[in-house]
Amino acid sequence: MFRRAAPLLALALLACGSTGAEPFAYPIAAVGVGADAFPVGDWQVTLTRADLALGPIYLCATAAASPDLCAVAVGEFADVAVLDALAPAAVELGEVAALPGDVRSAMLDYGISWFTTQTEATPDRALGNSARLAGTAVRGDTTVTFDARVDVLPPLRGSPALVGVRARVDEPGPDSRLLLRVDPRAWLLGVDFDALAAAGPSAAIRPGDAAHAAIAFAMTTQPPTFSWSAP
Amino acid sequence: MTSTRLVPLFALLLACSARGSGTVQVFVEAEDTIPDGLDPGDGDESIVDGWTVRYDKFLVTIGDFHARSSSDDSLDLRDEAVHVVDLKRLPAGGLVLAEFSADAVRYDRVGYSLPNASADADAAEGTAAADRELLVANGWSIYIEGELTAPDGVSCVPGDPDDCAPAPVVRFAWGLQAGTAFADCAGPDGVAGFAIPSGGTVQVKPTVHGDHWFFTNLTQGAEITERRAQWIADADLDRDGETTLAELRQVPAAKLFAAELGYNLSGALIPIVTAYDYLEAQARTLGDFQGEGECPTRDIL
Repeated sequence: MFRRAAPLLALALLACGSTGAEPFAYPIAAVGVGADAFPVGDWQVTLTRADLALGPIYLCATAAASPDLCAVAVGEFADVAVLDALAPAAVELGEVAALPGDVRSAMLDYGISWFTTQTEATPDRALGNSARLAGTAVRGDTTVTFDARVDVLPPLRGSPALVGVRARVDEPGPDSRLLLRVDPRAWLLGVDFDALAAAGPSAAIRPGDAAHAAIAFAMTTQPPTFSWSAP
Repeated sequence: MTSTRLVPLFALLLACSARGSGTVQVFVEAEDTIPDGLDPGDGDESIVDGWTVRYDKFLVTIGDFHARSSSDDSLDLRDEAVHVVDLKRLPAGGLVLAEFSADAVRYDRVGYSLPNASADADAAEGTAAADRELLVANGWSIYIEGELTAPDGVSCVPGDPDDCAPAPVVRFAWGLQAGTAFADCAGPDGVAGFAIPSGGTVQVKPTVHGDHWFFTNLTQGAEITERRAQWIADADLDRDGETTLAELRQVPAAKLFAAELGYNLSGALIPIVTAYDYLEAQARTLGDFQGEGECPTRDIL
């Protein structure tokens, strides 16, 4: 878990060592959106399953997040948590290991990381994919069931899958709590359910499929939102 | 006795506070891609998929320049004026956005805006009144006209590279409400802001870039990216030789900006669902500093 995260924080700890900055931790939680049906074009879509592998997450002191600039990480959630993105109540994921300082952006993986020590991107074992989204799409008397196993891959070795994610808070402290809001519905808005229906009443969506590309793209461009509060 | 002791102390205080003063001139600068366009090729600023790009018009709304010193809150320079600027017709001597006489220190917190145009915006020197009216009437922060050309260019159905038609010329004329504030500007060397020399003048240049909607990612530091223009040709859904904003709004972004082509669009200020969203997201990154320096903190206006 700490294959890449540890060096990042270690660098920051070294950098801050002479200033007396003390590391601390605060909780991180995630909340989903519930299982209500939602429209995608003419289709009414209902998710029955939305498992998401989330992490590692790095909190950066610079708005211009990049693997290089985030060597000054001010926080990290080094684990991969698998969460139910349909759960409407917040679920605790663990703790952010933090250093004093403002957060200006974030980088993250969806459970598939490509550390500098690896020859290829590797999924965490807990889910085996970045996300598993299953449900039904209904239009009139036509129903399509779908089961998508989605992989969001880091573009380069040593780079998280998502960089420059909007995340901003001044000086979070030990009493802070980071809440991630995840909306898997938004990730299905680009799926062509007409095409899925034309192929049959059920669809197994896998890497290489157009629907997979649409979901993976949306997961990249519509990441979880970050907010901090006191517990 | 007392007075003789006070004199050296007074002199010391004077020495500590006497930092002199100087002048800062703030110029608007257009990246070379705006007057010169972009050419196909493998160079650092070339279009890798064969298209040549030329702009006929490139208008922006720019202003609200501000600078302060993080070491002294009283040192706060600000000019809230907003101008519509034709970046293809900048005056030969440069367009001065603002000028300040101020304490000679480093101003390390620098920013400016590319806001949506309102009636308060004036037409900068070299900018036609009609162009100013165009942006103000529509509330646009930017308006561009131009064309892509490629002798063997094609327009393909988005997501279907096998269904293509010849398209040697593709025109575009796009106005956007993409008002954005840019802050924490730093020069190409990464040094934040600028320093005013005592008794001298420093020139600083908020720089508008003209190529970000060809990038394969959302740059937030060094512009390490490829430039691709095929998406504009493919979004010409009716294949009439012009790609409209209405067409961009119809095209799912995932069909144009595929990971297989090197696209990774994480980090956008707005959700990217359609090709129009991609264009707007990139338009919200155009504000740079001192040429290739960056203003990484961006907020929607």
